[in-house]
Amino acid sequence: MASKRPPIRTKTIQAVATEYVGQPISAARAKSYSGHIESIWEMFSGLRKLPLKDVEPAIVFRPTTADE
Amino acid sequence: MNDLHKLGAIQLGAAIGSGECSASEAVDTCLRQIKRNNDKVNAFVTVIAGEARANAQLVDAEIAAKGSRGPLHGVPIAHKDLYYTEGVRTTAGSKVQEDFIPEFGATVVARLRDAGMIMLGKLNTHEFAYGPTNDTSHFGACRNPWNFERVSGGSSGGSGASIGMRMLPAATGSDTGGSIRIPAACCGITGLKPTYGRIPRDGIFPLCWTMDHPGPMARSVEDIAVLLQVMSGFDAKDPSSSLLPVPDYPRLLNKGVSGLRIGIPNRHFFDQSDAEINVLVHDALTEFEKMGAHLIDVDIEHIEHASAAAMAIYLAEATAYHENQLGEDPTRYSEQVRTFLDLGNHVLAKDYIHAQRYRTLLGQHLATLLTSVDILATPTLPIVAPKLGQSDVEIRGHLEGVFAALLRNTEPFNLAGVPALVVPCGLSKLMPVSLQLIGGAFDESRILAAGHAFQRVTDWHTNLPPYLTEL
Repeated sequence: MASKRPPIRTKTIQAVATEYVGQPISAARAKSYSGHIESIWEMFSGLRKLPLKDVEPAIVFRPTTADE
Repeated sequence: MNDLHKLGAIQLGAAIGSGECSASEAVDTCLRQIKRNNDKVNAFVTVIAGEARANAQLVDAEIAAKGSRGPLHGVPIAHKDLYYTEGVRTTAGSKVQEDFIPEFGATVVARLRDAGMIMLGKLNTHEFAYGPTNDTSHFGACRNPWNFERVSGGSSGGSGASIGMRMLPAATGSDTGGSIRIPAACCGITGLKPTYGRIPRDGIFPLCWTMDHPGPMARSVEDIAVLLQVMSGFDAKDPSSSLLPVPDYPRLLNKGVSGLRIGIPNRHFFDQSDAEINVLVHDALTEFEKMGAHLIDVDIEHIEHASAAAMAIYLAEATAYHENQLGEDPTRYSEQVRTFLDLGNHVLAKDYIHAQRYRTLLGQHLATLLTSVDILATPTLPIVAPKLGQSDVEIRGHLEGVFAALLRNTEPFNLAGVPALVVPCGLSKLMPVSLQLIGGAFDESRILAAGHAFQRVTDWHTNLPPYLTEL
């Protein structure tokens, strides 16, 4: 059984922005984002529970030909 | 000829083609209307009066010598400021692009020009099309022709407001989650988000590559059909452009609705809309029944997850597109758009992929559903145009964000890529209410025929905003 995810922390948001994305943000901005991110991730958790077995993503790779 | 600004696109084209009026008179009339009314709604961000007048003279000379090219020859148009226009500033409503002058125009701009339409300028948009209100723009909020204290809706707000305010008969828009249909509904006009791939995206600033749909906005379905005809068709410069042949949309308009099976979703759309809007949309559906259509209760499986999937895709794709510019100087973006772009940095790749898988699931379900019914019908919006700066709205005792409410009924059909037409169908609180008709992929002709049949027996699409009727 998966353990419940702890709430996202301001420091984590700042770390992702700075270290992974290379676009540092202030602590105040990160704090204001934490609520948004929590609610967005809550929405996304519903997608993870959908019956998506054998369902391919809508993006399909198409090889590019020389004349394109 | 007086009152040219009251004519729709093909009425005006017919008047020009027959010599009843000239293209120069049509352009001058629209420019006068813009001068008189643009400060009320802030729809135009650039007006190219001199160039438009010069082009109108060329059109008049051509028509005098060779006759009209077709139904749109000499008809004025303006483009959402997301569309590249050669030699004319294209800002995307953002300080980031305030000095950008493209060296080429969008494919659609060229097609409309080749049909003889005369560009008058560029239209306000929500910054980079990243919002459904158009109250965030480098040029200031775009306001609603029906009530200047309310939003035009967005992101194609300038397109909606300019047509609603009778400054123009037609405009282009683009729709990623509802950005043609929302301002069309708010401003009391007609708009079409076609099937993904029907109209090429080349030369239009992207918001989300996999969800962006260019399309026409006008006063009537008849005008929309003629504009769609010109805008549609394969374009090698757009990798998502469809190779399917383009039907003769205007010729198919008069199919009628006798025997048409209209699916009415039993949740998500009507039950979460304002009660008065529900009544008006049901009244509109009764008109279809009177014309011989059948209303059939349907369920769209998993529809409740559409907002989550759309959000994952907006956030991921928009942030990827803007990453370099955002890193260079984030202060050049508005606070709202910058917040969305920052939030996109926290979307996991797997959630983006799940969202794209959800699109397949939803698309398959809709395709199956659209074998048992011919089209679907919903309210376009669950609310009327909100007030400028309003962040929350109460619907049936439930408080929710304005953005979420505005997008709820429209964005599922961006995810599925199927066509959706919106037509005015009433007034609530003195503001326009709109009906949305959804068809199967590349079946625009069926929803256009249904919308046209509705507009032949109703006159909501001819209603003028109070400010114009009081003049």
